[in-house]
Amino acid sequence: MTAPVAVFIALAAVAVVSGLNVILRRNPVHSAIFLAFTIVCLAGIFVLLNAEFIAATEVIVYAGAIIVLFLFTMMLLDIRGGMLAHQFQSQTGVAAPVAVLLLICLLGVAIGVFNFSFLPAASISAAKAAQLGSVQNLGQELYSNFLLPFELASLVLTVGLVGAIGLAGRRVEDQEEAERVAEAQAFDAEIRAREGGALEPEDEEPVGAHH
Amino acid sequence: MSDYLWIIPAAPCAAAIINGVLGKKIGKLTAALAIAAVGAAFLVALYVAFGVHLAGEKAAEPIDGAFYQWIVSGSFKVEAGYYIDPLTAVMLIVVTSVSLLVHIYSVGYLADDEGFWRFFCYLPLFTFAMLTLVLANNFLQLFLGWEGVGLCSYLLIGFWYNRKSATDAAMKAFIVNRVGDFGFTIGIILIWLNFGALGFTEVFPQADKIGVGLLTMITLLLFVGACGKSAQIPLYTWLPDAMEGPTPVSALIHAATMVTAGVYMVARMYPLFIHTPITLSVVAWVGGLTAIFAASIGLVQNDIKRILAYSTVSQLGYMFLALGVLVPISGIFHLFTHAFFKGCLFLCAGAVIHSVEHAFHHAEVHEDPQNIQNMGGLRRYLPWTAWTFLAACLAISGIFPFAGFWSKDEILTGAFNNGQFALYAIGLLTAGMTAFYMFREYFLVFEGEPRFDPHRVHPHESPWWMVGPLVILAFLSLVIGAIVGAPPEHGLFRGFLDPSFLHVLPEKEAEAVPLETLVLIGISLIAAFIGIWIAWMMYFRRAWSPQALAARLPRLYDLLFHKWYVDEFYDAAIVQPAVRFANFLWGFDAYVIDGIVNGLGYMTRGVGGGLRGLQTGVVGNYALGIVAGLVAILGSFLLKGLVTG
Amino acid sequence: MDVPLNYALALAAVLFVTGLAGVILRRNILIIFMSVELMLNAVNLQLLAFSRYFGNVNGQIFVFFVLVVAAAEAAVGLAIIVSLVRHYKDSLMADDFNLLKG
Repeated sequence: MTAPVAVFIALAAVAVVSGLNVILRRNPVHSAIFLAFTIVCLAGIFVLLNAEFIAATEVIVYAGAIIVLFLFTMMLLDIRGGMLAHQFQSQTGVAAPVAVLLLICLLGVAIGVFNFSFLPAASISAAKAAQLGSVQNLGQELYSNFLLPFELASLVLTVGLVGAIGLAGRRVEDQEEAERVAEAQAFDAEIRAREGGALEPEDEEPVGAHH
Repeated sequence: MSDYLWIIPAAPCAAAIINGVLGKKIGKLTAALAIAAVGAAFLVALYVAFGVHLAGEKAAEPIDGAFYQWIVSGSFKVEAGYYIDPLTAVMLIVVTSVSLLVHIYSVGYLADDEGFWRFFCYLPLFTFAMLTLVLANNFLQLFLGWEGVGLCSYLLIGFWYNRKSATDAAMKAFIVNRVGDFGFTIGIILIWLNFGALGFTEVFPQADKIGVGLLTMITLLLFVGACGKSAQIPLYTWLPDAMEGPTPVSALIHAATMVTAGVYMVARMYPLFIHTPITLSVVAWVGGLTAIFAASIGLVQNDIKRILAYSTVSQLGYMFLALGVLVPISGIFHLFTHAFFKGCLFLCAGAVIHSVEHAFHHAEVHEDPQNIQNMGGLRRYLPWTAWTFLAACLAISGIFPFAGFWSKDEILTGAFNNGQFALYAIGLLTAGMTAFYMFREYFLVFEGEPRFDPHRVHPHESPWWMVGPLVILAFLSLVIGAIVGAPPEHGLFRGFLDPSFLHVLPEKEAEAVPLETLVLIGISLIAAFIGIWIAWMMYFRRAWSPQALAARLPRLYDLLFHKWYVDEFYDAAIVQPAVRFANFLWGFDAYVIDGIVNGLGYMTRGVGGGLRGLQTGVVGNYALGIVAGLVAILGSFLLKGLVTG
Repeated sequence: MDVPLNYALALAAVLFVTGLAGVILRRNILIIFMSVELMLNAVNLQLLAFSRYFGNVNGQIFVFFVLVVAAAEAAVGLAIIVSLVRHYKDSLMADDFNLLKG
C-alpha cells in the first residue's frame, strides 16, 4: 500500500460518505454543505491524478460559486415548507432496486469483472504523467487545438448569465404599472368629488391603462 | 313496314317522359299527349298487322331486326330489336287498342283527381314497357319489358299512395311478382349458359340439341315467371288485392295486358316447350286447377271488382290450359277475346263505382260503394252501363254467338280431342261456375229493387268519355268472336296465327269429327245455361235463397268467402318467418356488428386510458424510466459478454 | 505506483450511482439538482482517470468544458426554479409540478 493509494482510499471514503449524506439529508442546506465536502475531496483526488489545474478550478467554480449559488437560492425561497413533506418519492420501491442494479453493472465494469479486451495494458511513464495536468500543458492545448470551443464556452457563460437574469428577475414593470393605475384612479375620484360631476365621462378607462 | 316500327314503343315512351317532367305544369294536356301517342302506336300496329296478313305463308319466317345494339360486352351481345310474326301482330293490336280505350276512359274517371298528370305519365310508360315486351327479339329485352310492366303495375296500384291498403297491395304485387321473376331470371341464365345466345332466332332452332331434362328445368323456370306475372297458383294472391288501384288500371293491366304477358311468353317460347311434355302438362294442370279454384272463390265475393279479379285469374287459367294441351292458337284467341270483354267488364264496374260513390257522397251515405250488396236496380239509373255489362257477361259466359263462346269452346274441344278428359271436365265445370257468378253479379247490381234508399241516393250515368269506350268494347265483345273465330278451327284468326306455329306443332293426325265437335259445343252451352239459370233463380226470381244455401254448408261457405285462407297461410308460413328473420338480422347488426365496431372503439379508448397512467407529469418518473432503460441495455451487453466471454 | 485505474473508476461509479439515486429518490427539487451536480463530478473523475491512464490531455480539456457548462447550467437551472416557485406554485416538491399529467 503506497502513500498515494492510501491517501486515495481515505479521500474516497470521505467522498462516498459525503455523497450519501447529500442525498439523504432532510435539510437542503445540510445537503449543500456535504456537497461542498465531496467537491473538496474530489479535488484532492484530482491532484492525485495529476490534474492540478482542474482541481483548483473545481474548488473555485464548484465549491466557491455553484454551491454558494445554491445557498443563495435557498435563502431566497422559503425552504422550510420543503422539509416538512415526504422526503422520498412514491416510486422509491422501484427506484432503489434499479439504482442498485446499475451500481452492480458499473462496478462490475470498473473492477474488471467483465474483462473487455480492448483495454490496453500499457500505461505511460511517470515523467510524462507529472506534467500532464500542468497549467502550461493545459494552456497549450486550449489555446491552439481547442481555441474555438474555448471562445464558445465564454458565449455559453454569457448566455447563462443573461438567461438567469431574464428568468428570475422580478417583474418590476408589472408592479410599477399597477401602482400607477391605482394612483390615477384615486386622482380622478378626488377631482370628481370636488367638482361634482363636471368631468366628461368619455374617458372611462383610467389614463395610461392598456392591457 | 319495319321503317315505322320504332314509333310503336317510342311514342308512348316520349309521352311518358314529357308528362313526367312537365306534367305538373301542363295539367290536363298530359291526357291529350298520351292519347295521341298511344293512338299513333295503334295505327302503326294496324299497319304492321296488315303487312303480316299480306305476307301470308311467308309470315312463318319472322322478321327479326334491331333498333340498335343495346349491350356489346366482349362476346355478350344483346340488341334492342323486334321480332314480327302473326303472334306479335295480334298482341300489338290488343295492347294498343285496349290501352287507347283505357286512356280515353281515364280522362273522365280521373277528372277530379289531383294526380291526373301523374296517371297520364304512368299509363303510357306501362304501354311502352308492354310493347317492348311484345316486340322483343331476345330474352333480355323481353325481361326488360317484363320488369317494366311490373314496375308500372306497382306505381299504378299504389297510385292513391295516401291509402295504406293501396300501398300494401302495391308492395304485395311487386314482391309476389319478384318471386316469379327470380325463377325467370334463372331460366334465362340457363339459356345463356346452354345455348350461348339470347336471341330467339339463335335459340329456337337449337331447342332439341340439349338434353330433355335440362330443357324441362329451363321451361319450368320460365313458367314460374309466367305464374307470377299471370297470377296462377301459387303466385296469384296479388291480383285480387291489386283492385286497390283505379279501375282503368285494373282494366288495362290486370285484365288485358300485363297479366297476359305470361301467356304470351309461353306461346312465344313454344319451340322450347314443345320438346318438354312434362312442362306442358304442368302448365295445363296449373292452368286448369287455377281456373276452377279462382272460380270457386268468385262465387261468394261481394266486392264488384274482386269478383272480376278472380274471374281474370280463372280465365288466365283457361289460357294456360290451352297452351298445355297443345292448342296454343286457341289460347291466344281466348286472350284476344278476353281482353275485350274483361276490359269492358272492368270499365263498367268503374262506371258503377264512380256513379255510386258520387251519389253516396252527395247523400252522405257511409256505405262501401264497391259492395254489390249495397246496390241493386241500377239499370234504371245507368242504362248504358247496364247493357254493356250484360253484353260482356254473355260473352264471358260463352253464349253463342258472342266472343267468349268461340274461344272458350275451342279450348274445351281441343282438350277433349287431345285426350285430356280430366282437364276437359274441370274446364266444363269452371265454365258453368263462370256463368253463374257473372250473372249473379249482374243481377245483384243492376236488377231487382235498390238496396239503398232511392229517395236520398241518385246515381247518374257517366259522361260520354267513359261510356264511349264501354260501348266500343261491348260491341267488340259481341261480334269479334264470330267475325274472326267462325267457323271453329278454320276461322280468320286461326288462319292468321297458323304460320306462327307452323313448324312447331306436331302434325295433326285426323280432322275432328264434326258431329263430335257439335256435341261438345252443345254440352258446354248447356253448362253455361245451367249456371245462368241457377243465378236467375237465386238472385232475380229470389226463388232459392242464397243465405239458406250458405247456412246449410257453413264451412264450405266460410272457406270460399275467405279465399281458402291462402293469404293467411302465406302470411304464417312465409311472411312471418321472413319478418322474424329480418328482426333477427336487425338485432345481429345492431348488437354484434355494431358491437364489434363500437367494441374496437371502446377497446382503443380503454387501452389509451390505461396507457395514460404512464403520463404522471412527475419528471422523476420519466427519469426512472430512462435509468431503467439504461440498466437494461447495459445489463444485456454485459451479460452477453459474460456468456460469450 | 500511482492510483490504479480501477480504483478511480470504482469510486466514480459509486458516486455516479449515488447522484442518480438522489435524482430518482428525493422529492425536493433543490436536492435533486445537487444530485445532478454530484453526477457531473463523478463523470469528471472518470474522465480524469482515463486521461491520466492514457496520457492524453484531451480528457482534462473535456473536464474543463464540463465545468464551464455545469456552471452555466446551475445558474440557469436555479433561475428557473426560483421563477417556478415564485410564480407558479409555492412548493419545493417535484410532484407538485405535474402539468404534463394525463
